[in-house]
Amino acid sequence: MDIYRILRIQLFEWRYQRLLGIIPLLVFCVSLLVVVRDSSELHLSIQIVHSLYLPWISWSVILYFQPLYDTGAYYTLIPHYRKWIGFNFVFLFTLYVIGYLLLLFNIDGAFRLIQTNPLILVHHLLLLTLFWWIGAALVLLLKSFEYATALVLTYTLIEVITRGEFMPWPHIFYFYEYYDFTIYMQKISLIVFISLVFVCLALVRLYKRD
Amino acid sequence: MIQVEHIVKRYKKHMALDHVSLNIEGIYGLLGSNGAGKTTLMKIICGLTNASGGDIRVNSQSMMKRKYADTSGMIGFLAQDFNVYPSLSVNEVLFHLALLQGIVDRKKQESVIQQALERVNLTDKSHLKMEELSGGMRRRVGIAQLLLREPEILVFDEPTAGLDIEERIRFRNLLRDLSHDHTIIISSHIVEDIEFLCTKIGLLSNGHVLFEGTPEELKKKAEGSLAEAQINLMELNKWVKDHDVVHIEETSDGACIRYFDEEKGDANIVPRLSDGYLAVMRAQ
Repeated sequence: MDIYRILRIQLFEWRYQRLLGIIPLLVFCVSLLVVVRDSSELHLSIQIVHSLYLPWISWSVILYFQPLYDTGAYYTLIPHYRKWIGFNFVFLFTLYVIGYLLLLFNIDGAFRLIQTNPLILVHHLLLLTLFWWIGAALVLLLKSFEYATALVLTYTLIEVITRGEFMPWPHIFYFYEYYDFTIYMQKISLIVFISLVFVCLALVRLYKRD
Repeated sequence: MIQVEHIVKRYKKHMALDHVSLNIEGIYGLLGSNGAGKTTLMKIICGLTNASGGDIRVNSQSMMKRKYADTSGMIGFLAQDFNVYPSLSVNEVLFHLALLQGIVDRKKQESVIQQALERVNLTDKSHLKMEELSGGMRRRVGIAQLLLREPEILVFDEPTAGLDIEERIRFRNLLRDLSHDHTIIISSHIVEDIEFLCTKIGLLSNGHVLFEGTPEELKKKAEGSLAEAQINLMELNKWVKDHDVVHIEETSDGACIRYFDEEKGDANIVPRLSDGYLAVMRAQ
């Protein structure tokens, strides 16, 4: 794959997204500030990182797919979206993982905690994957930037505000102040299952002819 | 030459296309009322929709097993409106689309974009944002982006719908110019455009082909079944109610109306294309 071409395509997309594309970066900075301030609370800091920062990958994915639904654009752009979907998954995932690692770097003892309990890292990486595919599936199914964003934001906000104990829907974040292997395994299984559903939904919608 | 052979398209219980066979060449016009299957057929030709059966052959080569929205450069499809990346300039959009289509070299990009813009007569508008362009100009940008990869066949869905008269004529002339080196398929409700542009016509109704031939052959379908009468304007409503009126022209002393009447049909009346279209539709 031609790196020069890939970089130019990415640069174009960021330029097209303008201020909207910077929002995840702003959220990253805010998360960083909050995390640094509360760095004495290890579990709380990690909760903030995983519930405030990771879901924003959905926003980036939804923005990435949005031009498909400009008037008359679908049949022009869809072949290229199909062609580049794998690359864009890896690209955005890697960017967000780098941001995630930078955040952890600012939390005292975070890497030690993850080393002792690697399921935390697995949980977070799976969350990132899930939110990528949730974003992709929703925007492809609803064909609307606004609806897709609203759904992801509503779910995430309600989960964070109620600390995952309110609505009768799957709770994928971990808000407990302690590490529990069994609960982590349950959450991970749940995320893997939901991810598979959303991967199928997104790919079927993307590859399906009318 | 595109051969459409017994194409069938089913949507659950609804049969959108029922064994449609056509031989497409030159500038080909697809006529038909809403829901006749024109857009579905065009999408199948372009590989945007799967057919339930049948085959499409381009230069004797089957197109049914190609990848989705064939990007090999053979067929280009333009929807009714084209407003990709509305907040960017025409140049920026075309550079990006060229890149997506695999034209990476900057000089090559500049040269193909320049050629395409000249072809669609938009060179002086290339700095404008897409959202600042009129509907006709946006469609011309749509054609320019198709020309970047030099397809042999261009397919247009209702290309002149919603355009003002000037823009419609400019667009028609552009399509005629493109027809010198491309096979063109057009679907339209505007019979006048089809008459001006097309060398061959396919008439679809409820997923069936009712007619295929030249515009002259379609006109002949109405020969002998048209009658004309000069009437008083007061009688107009009654005439419209009682007869199959196809054309009304106001005159100084009333109105001249043209209507279908198989018994009183006048063989000397020269039918218009719309008369031929209506004659075929009536006969089904």
